[in-house]
Amino acid sequence: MIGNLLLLIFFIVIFPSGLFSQEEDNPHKEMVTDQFICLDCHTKVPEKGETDPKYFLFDLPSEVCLGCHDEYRHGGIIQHMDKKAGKDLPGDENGKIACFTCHDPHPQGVIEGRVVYNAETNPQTVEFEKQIVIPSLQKSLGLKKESQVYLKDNKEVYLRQPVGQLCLTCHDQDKIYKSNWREHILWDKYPGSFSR
Amino acid sequence: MNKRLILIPVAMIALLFISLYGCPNPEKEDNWAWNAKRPQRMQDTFSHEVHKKIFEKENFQCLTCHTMDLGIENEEDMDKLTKLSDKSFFPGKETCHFCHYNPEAGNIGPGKCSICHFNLEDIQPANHNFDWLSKHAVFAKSDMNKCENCHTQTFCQDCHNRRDLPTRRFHDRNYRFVHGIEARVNPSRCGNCHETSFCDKCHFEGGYDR
Repeated sequence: MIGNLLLLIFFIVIFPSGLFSQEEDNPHKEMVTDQFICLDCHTKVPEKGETDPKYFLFDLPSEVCLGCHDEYRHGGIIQHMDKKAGKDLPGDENGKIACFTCHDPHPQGVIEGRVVYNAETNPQTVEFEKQIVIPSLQKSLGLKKESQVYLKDNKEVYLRQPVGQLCLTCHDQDKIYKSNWREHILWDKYPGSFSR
Repeated sequence: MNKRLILIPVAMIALLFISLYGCPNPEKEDNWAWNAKRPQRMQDTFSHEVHKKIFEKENFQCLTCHTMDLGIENEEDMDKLTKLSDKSFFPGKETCHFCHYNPEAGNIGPGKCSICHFNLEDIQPANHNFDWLSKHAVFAKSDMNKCENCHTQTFCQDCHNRRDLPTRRFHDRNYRFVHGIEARVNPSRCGNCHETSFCDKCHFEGGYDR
């Protein structure tokens, strides 16, 4: 009797919960081996050699990633919204920056000849973020106790270019360095003259 | 003839001035001192060019300061999520202070506060707020460099070495007659240097000794 009862509990509670608790597979990883994963985003399986990032998407290019991903959980994204995509990077239906401007949704091997990159930040950057940036954000944002700012995994983010180059596709390095207003201002020639 | 004699030196001075400081470019919103548009935020005082060499030497990436690989969990407040994106992407004071004001590990870069803070009253240390006049000597003697973060040496000399001049550093000669008005308008300003017993010395005890 007790054995049957335990068996019943197993089938009612433990077995189904085990089934549903399985994490959903990452479609980006899966598409290397399963071409029907394409239909998660495209209405038609792309033909070989197809490279247009907007190929038969089932939603607007600017919206298609947001079905699964939340743009508000990725630092610096809001500041890039509504900006025009750089000349060598794909933009959304209005030519503006979308997720796929920087990230290729396809891992290496899905599109022939396409190379994708991890977000390789150097150890100094990682340490700086861990020791300075994250604690200061955690403190200044006034987050709930259980909220947590964390360093995202920089593997499998499928960047279209290496980190160092990607920013400079749109941001002109020369312009960045030349935009130094200080040298044009006379009072800056006399350091300390504004000290009390 | 006389006009020429005046015009030539004026033109030479103007040319010398332009060659030294260049022409202001209205497109870039540049301007000379008296017209210069001062930065509104500390971050606007930053120059990538000034930091170019040190970034290359230390192998800094764009993402070191403009952090884009941070996420947040267990937070649904949209305001906070937006702020996170903004604050992580645009470096805050912690990023600048890591090199320029790091009392624990020491400064890597120049530690002069006035490099970025044009209005030093904004960052006035808390110990200046109360009876600082009687305390400042101890602090100044123990670490003069700390004072020079914000003050030039003339700031000390204005009080300590120039008592023979008719002008004073803080209060005019007739200040005794108008101090009551200022004290009522902003008593905390008096408190920067004096404690309340300083008022009492005259108003209740009939004299003062400092």
